[in-house]
Amino acid sequence: MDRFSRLAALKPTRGAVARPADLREPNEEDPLSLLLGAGIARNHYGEHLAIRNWFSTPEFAEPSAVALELLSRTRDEGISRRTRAALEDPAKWLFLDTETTGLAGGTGTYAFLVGIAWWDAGGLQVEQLFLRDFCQEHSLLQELSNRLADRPVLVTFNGKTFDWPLLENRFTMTRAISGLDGSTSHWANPSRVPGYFVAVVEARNPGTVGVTFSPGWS
Amino acid sequence: MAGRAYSLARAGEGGTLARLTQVLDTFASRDHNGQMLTAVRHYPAREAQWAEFPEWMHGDLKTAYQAKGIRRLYTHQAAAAEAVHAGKNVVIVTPTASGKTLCYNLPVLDAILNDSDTRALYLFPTKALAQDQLAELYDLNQRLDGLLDGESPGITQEGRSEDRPIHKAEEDQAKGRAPQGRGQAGSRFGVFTYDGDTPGDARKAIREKSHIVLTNPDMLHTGILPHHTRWARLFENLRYIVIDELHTYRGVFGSHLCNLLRRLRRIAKFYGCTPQFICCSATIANPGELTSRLIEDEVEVQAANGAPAAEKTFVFYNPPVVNRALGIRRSYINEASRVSQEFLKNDLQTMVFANSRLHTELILTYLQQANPQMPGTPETIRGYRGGYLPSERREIERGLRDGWIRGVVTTSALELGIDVGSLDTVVMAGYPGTIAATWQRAGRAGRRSGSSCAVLVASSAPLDQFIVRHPDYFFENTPEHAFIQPDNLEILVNHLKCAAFELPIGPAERFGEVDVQDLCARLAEAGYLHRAGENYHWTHEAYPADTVSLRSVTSDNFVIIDITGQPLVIGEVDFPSALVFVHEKAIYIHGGQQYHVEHLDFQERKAYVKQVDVDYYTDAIRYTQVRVLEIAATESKSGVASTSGLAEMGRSGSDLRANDAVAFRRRPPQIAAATSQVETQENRQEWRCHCWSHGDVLVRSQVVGFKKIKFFTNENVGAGKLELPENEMHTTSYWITLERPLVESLPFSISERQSGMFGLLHALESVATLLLMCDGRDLGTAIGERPPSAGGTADGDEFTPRRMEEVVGAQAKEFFEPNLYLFDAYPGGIGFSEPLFHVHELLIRKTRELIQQCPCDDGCPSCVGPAGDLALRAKEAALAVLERLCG
Repeated sequence: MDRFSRLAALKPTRGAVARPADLREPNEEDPLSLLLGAGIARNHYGEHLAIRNWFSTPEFAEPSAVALELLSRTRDEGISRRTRAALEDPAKWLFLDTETTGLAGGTGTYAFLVGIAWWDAGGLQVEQLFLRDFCQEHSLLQELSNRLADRPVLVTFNGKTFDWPLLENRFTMTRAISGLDGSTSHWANPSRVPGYFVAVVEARNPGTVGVTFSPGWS
Repeated sequence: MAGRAYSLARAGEGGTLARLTQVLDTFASRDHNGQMLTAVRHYPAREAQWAEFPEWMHGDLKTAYQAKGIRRLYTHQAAAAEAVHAGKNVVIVTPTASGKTLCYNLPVLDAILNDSDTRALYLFPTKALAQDQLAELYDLNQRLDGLLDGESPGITQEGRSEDRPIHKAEEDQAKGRAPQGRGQAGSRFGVFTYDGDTPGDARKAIREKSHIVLTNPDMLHTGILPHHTRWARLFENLRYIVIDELHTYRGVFGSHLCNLLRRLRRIAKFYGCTPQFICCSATIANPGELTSRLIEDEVEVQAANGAPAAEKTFVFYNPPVVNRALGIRRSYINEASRVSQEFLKNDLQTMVFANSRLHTELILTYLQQANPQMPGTPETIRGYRGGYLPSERREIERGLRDGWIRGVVTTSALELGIDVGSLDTVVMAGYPGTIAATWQRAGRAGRRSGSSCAVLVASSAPLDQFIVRHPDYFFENTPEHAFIQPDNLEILVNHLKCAAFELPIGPAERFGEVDVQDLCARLAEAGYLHRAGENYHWTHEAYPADTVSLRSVTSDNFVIIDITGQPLVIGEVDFPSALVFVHEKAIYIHGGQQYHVEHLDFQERKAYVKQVDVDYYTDAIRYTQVRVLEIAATESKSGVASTSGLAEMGRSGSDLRANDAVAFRRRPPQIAAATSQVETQENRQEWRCHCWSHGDVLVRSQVVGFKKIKFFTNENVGAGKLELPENEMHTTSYWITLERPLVESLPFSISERQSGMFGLLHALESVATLLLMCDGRDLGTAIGERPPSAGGTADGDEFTPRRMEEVVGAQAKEFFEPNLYLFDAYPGGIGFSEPLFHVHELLIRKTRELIQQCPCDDGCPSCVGPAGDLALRAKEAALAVLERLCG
């Protein structure tokens, strides 16, 4: 295959602008959203449901220096200054969990509900992104990648082996299904943007944390 | 592997020739009336035809091959490499040991050396073959390494006569290490096997580093395609797909592979690739057709063989007749053991092929008894078959290569290209069922050089007797055709589910020629798929590939547990065989040791056995019922002598040739169905004598009892009844209906008629196997009453066919209008019924010839079945029916 044409295809196109989706009030035609009290998020790729709630507890507390040290002392992989800076800045953290159509993994398993949360105004801002149908996946993933762009440190439970690989699968899969050319796909997957990174902080059992870095696609 | 083909004769090979001649002389001297050795063909050694390395070939690769002792190519290797280089799909068809692997390794490695992004996927039917190939590539890689390090690569004159690389690679694999990776200094390409044995932590490295992934269809099906996103590197750069031993992909397995390749191409397309196919096949009649059906694209056939061949003698051995009237010959199992023993006695390394596990173990028992070992020394005569544990099999392979194992008794397991070195002689106990397999097995002797011998010991089965009595049919004919039926609904739907799991199915997608939208809609109703937008998405919790086995209908198997002392798992047996081999009270033979089956735990899929030492073995009795579900086409013929039927078939008096098999293969089904509509709607008229049809049937079979048979004498020393669950299968069938006027016109008693029909069916099955060139096990037979409703449609709820027991045992009930069924022995059918339907006239004519020309008086195993099992005059009755069928 011609390498140059492939390189050209990797260049991001302008069309997909990374900005938050417009939230629309549900009407009678969206009984599910009414029931859930969800808004309908719409972006370039379509729409999905989004529910956002702010909780006053747990309250935000500055992470202790010890905890941060533990977080940053990861495997021997060299951490760039930029990465370390992000790690130490709780404003860059994104808590994440998913609900999926199966546990077997593989390309036929979908994450139909993605819950994310971050510190905001001294409390926890929780957002749930929900697929009403499989065809809404692309817009959900686009929204998720926007969030990740702002907060590239993922805090998960067992996400390194389950949630994140599954989401990576979904990012790769969505590309051709949407009928868009391959160019946007690498945009859609933040971990594949050169120089970008996602750090997955794992809380396996109380008292221990681990952190893993998915290096960017380079 | 390629290297071996070039090695020269070992010193002292002349000794082999002398000893072989001696043994053959012994056989000849015993053959008083010339009916024992029905054919002795001598094949002189053949010179190699050479060609130069292609000009475009990467210099390093050329040097590496030269370092292996390969200075020139055989003509077919050069031609294949050129065709691949020109971007064509290629299938290479040459015999064993002709250096086939080089045909694909050369262009693939060349492409990798020129562009390190290139990726290739190699598919082998078994794990063992992939291991074998790994060793070859590993060796090449090391030589390429040597070039980089600036060392002069070592020159081995004898190709790879030392087997060290294999062992090293194997050990590495066993320890869970990848044998080498690109990451290591100087390695020019990454090559790894990826199969069920690959440890989890090595898998990630393999996905990233492998230029060449060696795997098998089963792993591609469950491990690679459903996780294609992890294999993005492979699929984005996938340029070559190599399919070795292509001829093994026929019938069910082939139909599965075709669908698997549909899925593979679909995924490759998703990543923007259209890979090129390089296939290798043993000699079959239609390699081009089979390949292009499998890959659903055009393919160039490379069939001219430039490799040299060693001198070889091929002998047909027909065991002497001991009772002429009953047509009973000496047991071919005993005779095969005797022939093998003769070779072993003369220190000739021998491989014995038997056609069933039971026979493997029987012959092994005989040979081990004849060659007792000193206590404490390892057994030099070994068994080798599926069901032995992998480690045991690896040990036997090594033992054969190293030469300390002198004899091995095997099933078809060693038929494929696993490297066991060269053997001096091959003995086949019974005709393997196909010409292709016979040559393949014979090729195991004298792979490299020297003089060798292959002996076919015929059983008394009609097919075997036909072959040994008509040696020209075997020696002059092309080997058989391989059929597949990828659009078998059961297989197709299973793969469609897997495909949807891998990638949502779009609105314009097709599976081969099949429009899958309707099927998707059905699957959506069943809750497997969900339509969102224009695409069908997988929406079920299950992982579909896990429930689909490529090799058989079901992936279920039984483990066999020895409870003599500490419980120990000694082997496994697949589901359909379990009911036959490890039912309660059966004698299961494993490694020459007899075990009595104490308990078969059907729910847990376990068989508990205890070691015993008895002088009999058991043989299961099975009953089969068939019910017609839907008739696809029917034709009929009157009893009045007329040639119209023949003219209609467009084939009068044509000879029994391999080409026939193609000629009748494909008639557009719509036309056949349309004419059948007319036929079935018509009222049946008195003058009509018989009709023949094909269509869908439901087959129920059950193991109802077993016989105890004494070793050596084969006397029946007892029987038992069994209560085992029924097996139900929906498949396709061809059948002949004998209408009442025909049956009533037969001047025989009721029991003679019945017997005659069973005899006729016995002969029909043999001839059908020959015409279809399929394996005898691919066809099942049954007799049943024609369904009462006119036209025989599915509305008859009753199971009209009766059990053989009732028919033969009581001999009172009569068939008024019997249907003689020949059905596909696989769920869903694999495409034999329609060809049989179209070749009906030829089938009955050839069957008549078989029975007419058989020298026995009242039937024998070689025509209508052993006389003892049938009523008197059964042969006559069968012939009378055939005369009426032929008009």
